[in-house]
Amino acid sequence: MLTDVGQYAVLLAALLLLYAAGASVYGAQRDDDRFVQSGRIAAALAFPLMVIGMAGLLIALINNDFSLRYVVSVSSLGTPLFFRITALWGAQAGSLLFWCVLMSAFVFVAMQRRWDADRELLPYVTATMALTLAFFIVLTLVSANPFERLDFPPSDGRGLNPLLRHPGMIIHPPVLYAGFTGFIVPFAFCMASLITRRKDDLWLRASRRWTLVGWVFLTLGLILGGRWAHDVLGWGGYWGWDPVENKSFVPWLLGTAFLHSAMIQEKRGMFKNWNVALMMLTFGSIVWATAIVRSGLLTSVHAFAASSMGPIFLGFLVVMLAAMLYFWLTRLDVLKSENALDKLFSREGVFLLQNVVFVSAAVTVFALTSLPIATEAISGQRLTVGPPYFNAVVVPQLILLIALMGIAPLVAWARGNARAVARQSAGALIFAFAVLVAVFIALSLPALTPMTALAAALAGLCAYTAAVTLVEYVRGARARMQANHEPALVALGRLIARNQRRYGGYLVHLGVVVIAIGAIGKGFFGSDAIRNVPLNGTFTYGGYAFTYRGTQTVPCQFDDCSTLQAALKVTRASDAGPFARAGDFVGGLYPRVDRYPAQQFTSTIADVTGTFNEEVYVILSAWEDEGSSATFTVYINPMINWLWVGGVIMTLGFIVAFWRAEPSPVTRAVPVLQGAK
Amino acid sequence: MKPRVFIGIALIFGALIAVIAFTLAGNASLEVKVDELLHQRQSGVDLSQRVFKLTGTVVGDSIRYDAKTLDLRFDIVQDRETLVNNVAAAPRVTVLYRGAKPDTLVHEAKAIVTGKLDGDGRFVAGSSPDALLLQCPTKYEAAAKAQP
Repeated sequence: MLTDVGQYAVLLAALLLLYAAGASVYGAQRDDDRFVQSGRIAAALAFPLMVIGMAGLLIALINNDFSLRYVVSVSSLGTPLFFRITALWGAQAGSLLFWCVLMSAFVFVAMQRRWDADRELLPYVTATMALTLAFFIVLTLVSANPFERLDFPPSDGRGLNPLLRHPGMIIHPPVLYAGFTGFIVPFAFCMASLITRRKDDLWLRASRRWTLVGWVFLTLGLILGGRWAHDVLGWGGYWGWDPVENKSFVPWLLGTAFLHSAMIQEKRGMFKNWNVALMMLTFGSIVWATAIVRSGLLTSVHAFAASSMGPIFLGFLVVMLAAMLYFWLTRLDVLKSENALDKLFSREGVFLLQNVVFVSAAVTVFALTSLPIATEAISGQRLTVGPPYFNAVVVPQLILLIALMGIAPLVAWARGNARAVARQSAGALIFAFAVLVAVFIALSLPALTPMTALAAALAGLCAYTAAVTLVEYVRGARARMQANHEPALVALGRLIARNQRRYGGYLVHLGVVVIAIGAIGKGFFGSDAIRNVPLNGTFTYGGYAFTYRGTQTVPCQFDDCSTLQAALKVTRASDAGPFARAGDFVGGLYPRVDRYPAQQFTSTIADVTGTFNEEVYVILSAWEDEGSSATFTVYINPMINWLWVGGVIMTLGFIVAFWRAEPSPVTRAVPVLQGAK
Repeated sequence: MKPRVFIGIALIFGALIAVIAFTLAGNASLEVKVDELLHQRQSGVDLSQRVFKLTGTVVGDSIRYDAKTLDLRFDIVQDRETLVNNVAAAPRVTVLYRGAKPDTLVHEAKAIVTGKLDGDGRFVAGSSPDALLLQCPTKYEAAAKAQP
């Protein structure tokens, strides 16, 4: 009963949104505010209706109402309450509904904001958001209706996909969806600004904080996804250039480029055209991303099963792109830059270069990911490229971005001075060189290869960028100490509070460097091996000795599975290097295999030990004769933990940039050449 | 924007496109099914350097695994229908893989193997973690799983 109410609520939401779009545009054309306001209210109402719809599905899940096809596919009598709730986004139909709920929440909050200063944009913001959201709701109801009933309800369901019963998978999808759907707000502002032919940067300033919210959720979604893959998929890695990973990375690259180039428009009135194009590309890539995962167009480890959504999505993408292109081309005259780029060696120039690299990286990832579809359309044969090729082509571009991060803060606006940059970065360069030499010596002691030289160079680059960024804090704080006679910590605190975006941004940069260090460590020095070992036998690998102590069946954490667990004792081996003594105890490892007979599914769960800087990751790959011998795959993952720390630092940077320590920046005059030296 | 800047941007993109255009063919793998691979092999073209992403259905009683040497071999046929209807006469490809035997390697499982053909017409899987992917025979959503 309540479930049916939910279904009708969702349908009503879609109808209200269509009305909202029509009424807003009509009101704007007729200059009749009553229609605009009714459109606004109608668009906002979609959210409570979608919540009722979600509640209807949740009640069905909690009560295990097996007359719903969706409940059968993700729940069972033995599924604990907690996972019955998270099953809401455990498969295609439910997660698409959940996606719509999140998007409607963003629409709701945007409709509640004060529209005094930018009334002119309201009708078109409403219309853009309402039409986009309506599309996703209709898509849900037409091709993946979570409320679909079965004629003959079974007595039990299939239960939640075991891969999804992990904390990372419980948080990861909502966070990622929030990132995707959050971009609807800046996108709608962008379209509204285009449609109303505004010359100023109102849309940027009005939607800036929303862009940041979308961006941080996207960032966190990517990092949490990597963590989940590392913990659950049993392959030792965190990023495999899988289509589903790539499709989240492309909007991230474009959105990050946008966050940077938007600053140039706010400060110098430049890049207007580019910013509009970037925002449209970002949102377009989000729709493309959703289409890829949802329609089964590309084979992936974690895509949803093939579905009929492809053509519907394609239709929407074409209509959306056509609308974007139309409004963009007919408004090129208002997107003229107010200032010319006089000198490439200036803050604007570095930003431009950085933007070009971000976009080229995004285009590369997009093109290589779409290669199978494109080649199939052209020649009928699907061509794919693997992770090594992605690494070879995309990673150099990302390295270039890290270098630019180390240069940009030092280059002055309008006209940069190469000598001043060299003088200011002298300390950082010396530090970076010292790091380079130290890393090179440490790495080449065991073996000298071209790889160690490259890794040392990259470590030096990371050290340089980190040093430049940290010096920015020190220099700013010292200036305040001298000018205002403030104690060091007070000066630092006030410096950050007065320039939140800038110093929050630098903190994000530091997080990126930390992530890069983790990626270098794992990428260059990570290694793995497969070893078969008899009971109580020992094998050595990567400076560790592993002694196999047997397997045993232990209680599984869920009642629809059984667990076989192996025990390994890990000690330092004799070749462990100068800082460890052979025989030192490192840890006990209990890698396990969870079998889910009802679902014919096996989940290989790794166990880890080692130190913060070197993770030892072991999975039980196979075993023979009740465990008289067993096969283990060992991954040595140097620096991988830096990735997660970098993610935390990036989030802190976002909080610094977002937190309102000062009155709203929109109402405050922005100095034209803020940050000029 | 000055022409100089435009030229600079065009050069960067041009270089990138050139790099990809020249290196793609040697690094891309072709997605094929069993019948297609056998057909290509009979056509007499030298396939020894070509990387394929081969999809097929596992013949359960062909699976051989030596735990000591980690040598794994099994046969795959075109699809599930072939396996059910006419497994004896169906054309098949033998897959060679080095590594732990995945639990999901069972009769009727769908295998996606990345690798090359050797001189004897056997398909040698690569060593990357996703060289052998298996999908359970059930129609379970998102049940594909990377191995090892």
